Amino acid sequence: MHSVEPTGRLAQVSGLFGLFRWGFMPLGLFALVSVGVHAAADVIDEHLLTLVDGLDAWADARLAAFEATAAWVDRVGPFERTVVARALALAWELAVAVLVAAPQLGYRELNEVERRLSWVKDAWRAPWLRLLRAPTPARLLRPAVTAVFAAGGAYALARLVEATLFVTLQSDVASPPVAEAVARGGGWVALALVVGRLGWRAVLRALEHADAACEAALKRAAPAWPVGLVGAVVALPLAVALVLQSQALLALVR
Amino acid sequence: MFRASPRGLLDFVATALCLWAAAWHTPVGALGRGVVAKVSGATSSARPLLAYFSGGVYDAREVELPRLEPMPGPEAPLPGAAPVSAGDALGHGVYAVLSRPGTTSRAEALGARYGLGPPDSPLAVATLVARARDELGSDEAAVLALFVGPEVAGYATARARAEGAAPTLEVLARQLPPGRSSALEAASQALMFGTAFGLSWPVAPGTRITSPFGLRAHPTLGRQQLHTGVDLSVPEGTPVKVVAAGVVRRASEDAVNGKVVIVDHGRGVTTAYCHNSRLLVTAGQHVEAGQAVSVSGNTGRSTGPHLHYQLELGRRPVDPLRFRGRGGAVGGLVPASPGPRLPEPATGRRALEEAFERAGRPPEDTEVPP
Repeated sequence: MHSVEPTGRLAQVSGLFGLFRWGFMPLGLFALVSVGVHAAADVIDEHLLTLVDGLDAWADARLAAFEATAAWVDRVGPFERTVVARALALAWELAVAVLVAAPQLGYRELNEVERRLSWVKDAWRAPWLRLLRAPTPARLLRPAVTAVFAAGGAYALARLVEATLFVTLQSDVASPPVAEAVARGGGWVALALVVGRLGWRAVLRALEHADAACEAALKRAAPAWPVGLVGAVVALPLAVALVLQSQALLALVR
Repeated sequence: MFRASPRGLLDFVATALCLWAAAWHTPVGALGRGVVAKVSGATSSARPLLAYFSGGVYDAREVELPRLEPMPGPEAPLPGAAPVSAGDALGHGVYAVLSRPGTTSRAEALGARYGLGPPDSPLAVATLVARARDELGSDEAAVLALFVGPEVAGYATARARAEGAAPTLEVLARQLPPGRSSALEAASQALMFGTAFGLSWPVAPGTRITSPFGLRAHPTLGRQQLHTGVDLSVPEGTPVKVVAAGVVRRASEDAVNGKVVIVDHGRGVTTAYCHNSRLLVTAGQHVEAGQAVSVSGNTGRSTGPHLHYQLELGRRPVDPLRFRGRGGAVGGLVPASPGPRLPEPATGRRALEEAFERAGRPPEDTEVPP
């Protein structure tokens, strides 16, 4: 990753912020993946409502067959069905946030001194080699779903930045075409910044976490393949739902 | 372990953006804000967790119904209904929201922009919405423009189309920055009401209402219970026609509601038809306005042949008669297409004929008021 190093006063300010990377970097990674997970959950809530509708129809047919339970049929109306569907979407989102986003809070960095003393030189190299040598569901799927959620989160954030800039600028500062051009530029910058500074770290951190869990299982003489299987099964449908919406990304170039 | 960068400004900015997005747009962020508010003793401004899945539109909160003329009592026949275009119905719906005390809108500024008078009547509002629709391309964007301004509505529409999505209000809402919740709520209620005002009737207008909406002693259970729709006295075998285009959400049978069809018309409007003898549609099927979806009957918990017709706005049952005013102000057959276009809005039968030309003529047996 090449970047233009800031100079002078800006470098000092940047250096000052660098002292606190241990605090804000894990939070940033967690937030990025969480935004992506919510974007995915927002896609599936309507499908869940259809599912709940079907289940309610099935349950109504059975409950109505008995006098004692017939009164329950009218207890679940459209409002309750919607609440149940959204509650399921929320529970699913929170579960994925715990399984996929929360490990991002374990992100750690080595400073130069620690790095020289440590035998670990690159975070990704050893897990990557183990992924190639002994792939497991966790090693394969955790980085993949994290990449999808990070991309979804980055896009949602870019859209938010763009809309905020447009609405702010067009009212008093600039004409709508100028405001739109500036906002599009702002959205692109936000997207590039988040993907370039956080996105890839989130994916590698997911690989690192999955690899560590697999290695821990092997040390206990347990098989590595079931590690993280539940998390993968829970997160995969949301990631797939987000991928199916990826045509929205074309808006970046339209 | 990752290699640390000695600098952190860009990373900090990226982190701040992510935290901002997560805190304001995700339930996880709302939980975090709630915890922070609790610890600091402040009041959290986060929305309820489930509200993060609605985009703030067509939400399942209590819908404040527009004030209309008194509805007919039980046993009273429905008034004769004059045809109303989709545009006029939308005008009624938007006017109902605009005329509420405390509603802030940009309708007057929008009217001045188009050289129109103040939006002080349903017809004036319908004209204004039609002009905005001509500019922005959809009813949703036109109504949104009344509450957030045409530039913002136009921007949201352009971005929604760039994503390849139809510009529904939910999609447009996703393109807006935070802080537009009251405008979105007003726009969604205006669209809900406008759609509800444009609904036709499932059976012949004038059909006797044997049990109105509201609290009543249940005819078979005996106890007080909210009657969530109206009972229309029709003989078994009467075709039940869907009151607007939509998608069948449910076509099922149980011993309480009998054979039931629920149709989602979009914009937070759903209708249900219960106690049928036969269902003519299946779940997931798209239906056109006036299409027969079932045949009335006496199935389920019913004391005689009738149709239970139910209207839901924002997923709450409401009295369907509230959207069928006396004297033919609203109600009747609705063309399933945009209403009259400016500058010369057609009226009466001519408007209906023009709408039929644009959208196609309904089946021969559809009621067309004289």
